[in-house]
Amino acid sequence: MLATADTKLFLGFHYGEWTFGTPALEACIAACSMSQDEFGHWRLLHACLNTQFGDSPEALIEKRALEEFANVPCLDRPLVKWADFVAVNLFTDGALTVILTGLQRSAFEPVANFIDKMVEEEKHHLRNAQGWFRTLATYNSQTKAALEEASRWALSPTLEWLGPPEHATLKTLEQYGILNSSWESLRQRFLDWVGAIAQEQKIAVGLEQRNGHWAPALPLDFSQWTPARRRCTATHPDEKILYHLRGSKNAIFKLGEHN
Amino acid sequence: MLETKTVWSALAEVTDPEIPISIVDMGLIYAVRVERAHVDVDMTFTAIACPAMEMLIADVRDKVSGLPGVDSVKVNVVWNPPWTKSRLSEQGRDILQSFGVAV
Repeated sequence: MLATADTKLFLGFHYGEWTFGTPALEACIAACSMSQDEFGHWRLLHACLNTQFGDSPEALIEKRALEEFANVPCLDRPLVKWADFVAVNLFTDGALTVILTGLQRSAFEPVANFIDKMVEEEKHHLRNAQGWFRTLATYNSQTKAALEEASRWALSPTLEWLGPPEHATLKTLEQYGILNSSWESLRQRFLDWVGAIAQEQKIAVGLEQRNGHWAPALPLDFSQWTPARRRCTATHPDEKILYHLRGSKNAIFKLGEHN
Repeated sequence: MLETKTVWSALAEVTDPEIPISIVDMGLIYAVRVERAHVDVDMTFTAIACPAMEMLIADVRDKVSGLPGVDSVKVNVVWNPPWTKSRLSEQGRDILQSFGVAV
């Protein structure tokens, strides 16, 4: 849940950053709205972590070291091109949404109470992502090439974050009815979904079909992968991004913190 | 004795901060329970990140607290079932359409 909250925090930042850099007015409004959604989801997940596990929302954002954040690694740095935004919108946000659907009808009541609403809001993000993916794939050869490059760039760390098809902790979550499916089937649902979209638009993203399902063309090495950070390496988010997210520059203006 | 319908009538006077539409016509109020002088209000929002959330909760609390016979009010934010346009009343639809909102 913390890794999901972290990813939503960074997605919210990047969507917000692009609000005034989009190639169309509609995209500006969509980016702004998606940013707002992600921050809202992040806030709700943190509230849940607070009431259920005693994790203070302030500590989760203010007190953790850069190396403790467990966001999808492609969100560590600024999204340089519009194609990067679209790729993250489709692959990273899409992966997160598939995981959220795995929590629908969860036996963990605090999450079950809001997950349907969260998934409902995410559907709009994916509609936006699919629309732009199709647009860039078909507009001209330059946009198509940029999209292909960005897709590979975003998909690989998203798969890294999803982790191996199964591991003990996630199996326990399924056994207790917290997840409605096995991690392997959720991961496969994501791969089949993005594989079909990429194939339809003739964008090579590094997936191939095997036995009727989509799978990474190159095997992924999870030998160094850690569940807490959902990464294979010791990389971490850019300090400047966290500085903005924490509002460090304007810390003295935070409500309730005046002396 | 305080009646549930009195609370609903009071809530109908609380409006969205952007468009003058009642939160009852918006379908944001899911339930009202009255137990002696205590009132529980279950309410939702159109979006999880609704920026007017705190403001509307405060408005609901103030409005219901002001009713004769009310000692305490608890506003419970609920997300299930998720709010959709289908929860708008007929009057709510008309108001939103008059403001150019497609519903």
